[in-house]
Amino acid sequence: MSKVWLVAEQQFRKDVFKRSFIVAIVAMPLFLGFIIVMGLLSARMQQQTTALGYVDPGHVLTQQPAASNDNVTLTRFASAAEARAALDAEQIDAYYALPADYPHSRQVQLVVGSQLDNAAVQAFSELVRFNLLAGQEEQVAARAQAGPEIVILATANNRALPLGAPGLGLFLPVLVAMLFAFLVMTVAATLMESLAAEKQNRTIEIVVSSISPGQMMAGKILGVMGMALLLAASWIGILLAFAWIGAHVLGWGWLQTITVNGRDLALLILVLVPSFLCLAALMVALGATVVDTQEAQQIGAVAFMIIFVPIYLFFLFANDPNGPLAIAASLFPLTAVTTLAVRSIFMEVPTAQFIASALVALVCGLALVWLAGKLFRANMLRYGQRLQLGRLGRKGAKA
Amino acid sequence: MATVEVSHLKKAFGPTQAVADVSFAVEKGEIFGLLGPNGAGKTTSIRLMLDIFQPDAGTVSILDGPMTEAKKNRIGYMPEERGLYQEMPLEACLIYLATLKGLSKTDARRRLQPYLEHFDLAQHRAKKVKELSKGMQQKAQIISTVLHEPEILIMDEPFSGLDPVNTQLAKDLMLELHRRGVTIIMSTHIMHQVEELCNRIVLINQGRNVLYGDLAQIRREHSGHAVRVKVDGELPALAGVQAVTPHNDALQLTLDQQTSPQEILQQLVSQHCAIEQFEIALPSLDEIFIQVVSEQ
Repeated sequence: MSKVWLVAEQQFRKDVFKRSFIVAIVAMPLFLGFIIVMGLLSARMQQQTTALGYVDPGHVLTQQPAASNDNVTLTRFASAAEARAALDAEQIDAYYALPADYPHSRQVQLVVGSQLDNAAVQAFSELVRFNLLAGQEEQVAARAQAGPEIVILATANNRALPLGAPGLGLFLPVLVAMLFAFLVMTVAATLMESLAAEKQNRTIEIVVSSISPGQMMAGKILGVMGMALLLAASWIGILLAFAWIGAHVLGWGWLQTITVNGRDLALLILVLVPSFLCLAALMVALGATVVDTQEAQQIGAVAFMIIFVPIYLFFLFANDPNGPLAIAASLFPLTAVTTLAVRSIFMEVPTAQFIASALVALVCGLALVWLAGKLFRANMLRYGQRLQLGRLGRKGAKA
Repeated sequence: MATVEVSHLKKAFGPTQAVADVSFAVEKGEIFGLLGPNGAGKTTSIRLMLDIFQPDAGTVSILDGPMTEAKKNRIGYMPEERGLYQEMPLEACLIYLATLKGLSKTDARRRLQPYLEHFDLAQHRAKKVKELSKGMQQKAQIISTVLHEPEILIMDEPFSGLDPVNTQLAKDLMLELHRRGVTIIMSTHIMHQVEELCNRIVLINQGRNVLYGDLAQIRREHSGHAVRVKVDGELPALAGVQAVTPHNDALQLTLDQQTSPQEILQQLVSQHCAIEQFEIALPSLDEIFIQVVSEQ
């Protein structure tokens, strides 16, 4: 077996057969489950039964719509005095008083004991609308009852944003970018820790007397990537399982109508690959300069905050998705994937910008791989010592 | 052709010239000493030999040519900074390191068994390395160096940090491997170990060769014109002796250039002295080391 594979296998086993890996796999569904359960609980807690009265001396509201909100009860009162008495006796939460000439005046009075929730207001509006449309053709009545459907068409950006409930498909690139960020974090942090541990354990000199530093590095990267792919496959599998349960068991409509923008995803993946190379090489370079695993973890945490900067700038990019800051962040390899994903929600990012980002990331990635190799060779046997950049001079670089 | 041939090696790290000009050759099957004070460039020279570092100038020929990946399987290396994978079980760790030296897992496991028994580690094979005592880890380190049966064994400060029992184990193992024809290069600054084990040496100081060759020859070359004598009673007056100085429980007689040690012995016999000790006064390697390094 090739020595590269031996190192890869050893690294993979070390990373996979440990408690933190199992925790990482289980943490994702637990986190999702927690969010879903909390959401359901929150929605249930917000649901309250509202008793609503109305006074309709003109007999406008004579019919009840077929579908009505179970949490709102509507009670007809013969007079405003009766309704007021019921309100005072706390038998109802509020009442509407329609004047006898309501079909002409379109004026209505709402008397509220305390705060009235939106569901109750909407239920009464639906009742009124249903009765006013009673004389219309069925199709016209149904369309009017459904209300307006507003979609914002940003023609300059080639984006259609439905007002109210944008589809999950729009956010898919951001989900991919998040998954990428977590994978990079996992791979690079593990790699950096592994290199620091080799130095800390004093095993590195034994290993590089058996194989070249390049082979060792390649083996470690392969092993860590294998672990990350297993982790990603587990997470994607769990996400798909959740989506299927949501769509087919729980009947969540928003999960049934996901549309995927193939162009954006394909272009994002084009940037994602060299960005991964760039970040992994950066972590190897940092790993070569640190003294121990603790320091590696600290530096890794700071480095990865940069990846998430575009998320913090979400609203800035939403306001001006093609502005100078957005374009600059798209070209910077550490923030490129996340920025492009966020911008893709609000505009069709030009293909040329994706290609430019990919090229910049590729060039930086190759340069960082070269630099990481130099740093690693120069510093791999400096136990407990910090790298002096002066050593990367002409002679030191030959180490 | 020499098994290892190092010629005019140079290596600098930034402004520090770690190795300025080091040359030596190691013959097949010998125990060769790479000596020098701390910071002389011994470890850097070894790393250059093993292709861990690339030299700024000079050449290394090892097993008939430059170092290759395949040749690394034929070399055993015990660095001065030693370590094993602390989180791995002992057996798995040693097998992994042996597979990096080209052994199959099956062969590594088969060869490991007698070593574990010899070093009293068999019952600890499943324990994590970090759970073993320091002495046990040292023994495991020795096993990992020789498990793949190397043709060349390079040991940097091989007895550093070893307790007397493990030092003896390591010495015995080196001598056993020497008997089997393995070429051994040991780097150290502990001179009596070199006198005990090595046939030939190179002494480097400040990155340069200062002494090189056969150990006995070097000692002869550095001996003064003197003999060490111990007699029962008082030493009589002897012709041709310039100075008499105590040396341990004997006396060291410095002779003038015209007088040979044989003439001194004749004088002692003719004067009916009871001679308990008579030897040519050869300097110890420690003395040569201090003298040469001081002159530098």
